[in-house]
Amino acid sequence: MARNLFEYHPVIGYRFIPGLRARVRHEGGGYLVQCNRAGLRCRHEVTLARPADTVRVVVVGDSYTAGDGVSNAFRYTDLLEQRLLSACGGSGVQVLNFGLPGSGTDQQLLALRELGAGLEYDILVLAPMVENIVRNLDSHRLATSAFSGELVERPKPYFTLEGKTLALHHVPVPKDAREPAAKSDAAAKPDAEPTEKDKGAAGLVRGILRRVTAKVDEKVPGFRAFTQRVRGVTHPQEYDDAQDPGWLLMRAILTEFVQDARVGAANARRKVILAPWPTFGHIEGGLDPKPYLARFGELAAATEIDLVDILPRFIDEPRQVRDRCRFVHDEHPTRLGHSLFADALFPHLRKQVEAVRGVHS
Amino acid sequence: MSRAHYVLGISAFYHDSAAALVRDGEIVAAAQEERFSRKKHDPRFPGHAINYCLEQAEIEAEDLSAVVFYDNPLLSLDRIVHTLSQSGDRGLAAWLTGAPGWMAVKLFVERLVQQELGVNVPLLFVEHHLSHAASAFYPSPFEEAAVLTLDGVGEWATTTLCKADSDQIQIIEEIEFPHSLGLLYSAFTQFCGFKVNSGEYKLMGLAPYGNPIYADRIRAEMIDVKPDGSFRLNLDYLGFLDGQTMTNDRFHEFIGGPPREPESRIGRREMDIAASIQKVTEDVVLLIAKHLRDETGSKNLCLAGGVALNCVANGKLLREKIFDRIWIQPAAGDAGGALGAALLGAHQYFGVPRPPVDPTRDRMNGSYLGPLYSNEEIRSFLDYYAYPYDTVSDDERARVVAKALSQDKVVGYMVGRMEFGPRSLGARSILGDARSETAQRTINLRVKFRESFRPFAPSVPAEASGKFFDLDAESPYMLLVAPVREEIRTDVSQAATDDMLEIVNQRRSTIPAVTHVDYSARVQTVDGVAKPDYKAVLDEYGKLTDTPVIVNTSFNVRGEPIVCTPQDAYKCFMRTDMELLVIENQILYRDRQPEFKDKENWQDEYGLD
Repeated sequence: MARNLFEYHPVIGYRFIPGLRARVRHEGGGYLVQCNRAGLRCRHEVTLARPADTVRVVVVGDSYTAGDGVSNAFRYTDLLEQRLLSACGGSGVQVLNFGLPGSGTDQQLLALRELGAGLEYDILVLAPMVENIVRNLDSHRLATSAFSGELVERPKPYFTLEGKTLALHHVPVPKDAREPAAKSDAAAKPDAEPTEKDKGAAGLVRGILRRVTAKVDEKVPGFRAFTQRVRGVTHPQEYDDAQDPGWLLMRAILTEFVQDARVGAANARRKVILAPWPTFGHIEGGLDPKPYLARFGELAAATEIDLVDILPRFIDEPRQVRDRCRFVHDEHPTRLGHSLFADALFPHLRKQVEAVRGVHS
Repeated sequence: MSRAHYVLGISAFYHDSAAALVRDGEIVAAAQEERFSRKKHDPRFPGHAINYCLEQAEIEAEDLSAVVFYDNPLLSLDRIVHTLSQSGDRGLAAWLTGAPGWMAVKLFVERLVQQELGVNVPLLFVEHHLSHAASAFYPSPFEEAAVLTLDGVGEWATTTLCKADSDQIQIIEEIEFPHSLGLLYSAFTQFCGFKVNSGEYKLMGLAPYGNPIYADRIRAEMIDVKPDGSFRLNLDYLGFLDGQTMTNDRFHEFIGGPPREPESRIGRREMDIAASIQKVTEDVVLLIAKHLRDETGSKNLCLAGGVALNCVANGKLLREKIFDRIWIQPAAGDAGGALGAALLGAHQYFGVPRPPVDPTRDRMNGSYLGPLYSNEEIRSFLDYYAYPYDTVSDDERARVVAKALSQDKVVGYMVGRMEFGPRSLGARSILGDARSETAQRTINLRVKFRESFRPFAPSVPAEASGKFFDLDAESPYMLLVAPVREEIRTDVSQAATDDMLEIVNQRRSTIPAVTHVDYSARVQTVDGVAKPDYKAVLDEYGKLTDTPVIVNTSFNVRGEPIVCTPQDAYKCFMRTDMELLVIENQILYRDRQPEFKDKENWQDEYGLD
């Protein structure tokens, strides 16, 4: 059995095991997972105080940011740090990776609050994968049991939007794993609070398909990614309408990130960059990115944050190069995918880092 | 500064596949695939073990200078085809099952390696017995040595005599298939109802109960042994060349009856057969050793190959003083071939000089070369499932374990890096009170779920071993059998019975749980350098009892690979009658654990060995 990577966390649901040193077998040849004492897959041991004369960048996201499929050193966060260091004379920049695999932006917000409480930093990069909007609607997540190796559903924390306020549920996160069932979450557990997704027929269909395809994918690698494309998960419909409940929830959570980042007079002008990861349906050219770009654009304007569209960097490449940006079966970015993402973000981030250095000096 | 040479060795496709990693000739990691896959003697490509080796070194696959396979598949295929042609139609059935495996898999090792690692790394092949010889010599505390490898078969060779010096190993003589001491022993193993490649150890444990009444006839009819130890088998008695079993009708006539059915009662006949083939084996090993000493002039002997796990023969070899010093590779079987292959790659292909030899200490790190689990990893597992535990300091752990043992409790002990090789050496061990008259029976039947005739091994501090055993060498790998000292023996009336339980339960010494029927013991000497936590347990136990000797048996149930992870350890603990479980600095008491709902039908999952 493979080494466990995660431990229970009562608020976030789970986090990397602090101090973990592991290697994961993978179709790409395997990858090293090295974690710090805070339970982040991050090369830096995090101190609350910013190191002297250092611009500190915090990056949040899901497994695309945490780097499933590649070793720490080949993730876009680590590549960005290298490039920024080179641009800054070899010192004075620190990029902290707060990526949490399998998470929605809900858990990413909680992770930053819990694991980054009191943390001094200068720039916040929000790098949600556009599909995270769907995970925000879930009250449970599929996971592999560390004990039996079986696929189970574990509760996760989630928000609902009560008027304009986010209400947090499932905290402390219950531990009662359940068998994946071909039923909607609400139907499977009548006493659970129904989430937005649970309420609709679309949620029921998603629930069934997600569980069935996860099982089939064990035998036929790539099947899940294929069905996701077919059923439009990689183009979540929640972005199509600015008033869609799913988008309103996503928007509220991202807004909360910005508000948290700017608490206190000293942080009022803290830079926040929104750099969403497109799905590979978008990267490969089959899906239209306009809906999600429109929604994120509206959010950026309303909250005065920068939106960086990284998709053109991928589209610039010929199809055969773009095909090598993801693994054949696993839908995560390869080293090349991370490198292109870093390419796209670097010019903007460099400008912001230099601006902060200017203020510091 | 030049780049470090990381060389990965792998053994696979026969039995007990494994991977090992060396960095500039220093051993970094080694593990058997079975520990991860939970399939005993797993012969499949060792993907998990490879992953672990790279994990331990924290390197990328492209950091590897080469991958070295422990065997030359073309030579093995040559032997298979040759044997098939020699045995005509009679051998067809046997080789129809064996040959395709070699042709279809072994010849595609390169593709499997590439798939596992995701990059193209140079792949080298070395000869099977040279891999064993390298695993025995390079980590040894000898600058030069004679090297003897005895195995079932590898490519063509079954027995290889070498002379090794500095970085070089030179083969001086070989005995080729089908003349194999290992296969002969395996034939008797199978006849006695035990599994080939795993039951040999049982046969060795059974031998002291019997009398070697067949030994002379075996020498007269089955094996022709020359004064220099070289031998030829009489293949008329053996079925492995042209059949699906190791023995044939003529073998059965020789013994005077059919083979014992597995799991049936073991009788006097099996005891005498075991004693006989053990005696023949020991005699051959001693003759070969004398010849090797004459040929090489060396005072040092290194041993490897499956037959080197015959610790009774090893003990006799030591006491005969043919060589001044003997070092035996603890992973002497095929798993150790992975380590030898990696070392050969480093020293002979890349020309990495052998690290300076310390004559007082080998380079195996006590054979603790497997994975370690941090307290954080362990607690994350225990906390999630709300399994109650106490976290204690290292000192407190030693005291708690020693006290429990002194109260005749059985302890599951998982501390430190997992052992490489078939023996548990205090990192994945079940421990018991060696003074107890019931410990052997209790652990065998209620914990291990296996036959009760099998003896347990004692662990003893190296400096105290002379008080209890006639052993004038260290035995850190439990590969030497030594007599229990006369002064702690107790007289036992000769049991006029074939009832093994009655024989086993007789008290033969002040440490009855580890004293075999012939007053021998398979000793593990423990020092504070390689395994300080375990030494501390022995010392604390010694303070409490004046007898710093404890039972050490592998942490598994019958048919199960030795536990690897905290999850494995907890499952094994809850499925058996152990009273205490130690996982690093966590102590779990059986009576505080919640009811264990076992979803797995583990008695079916782990086939009998």
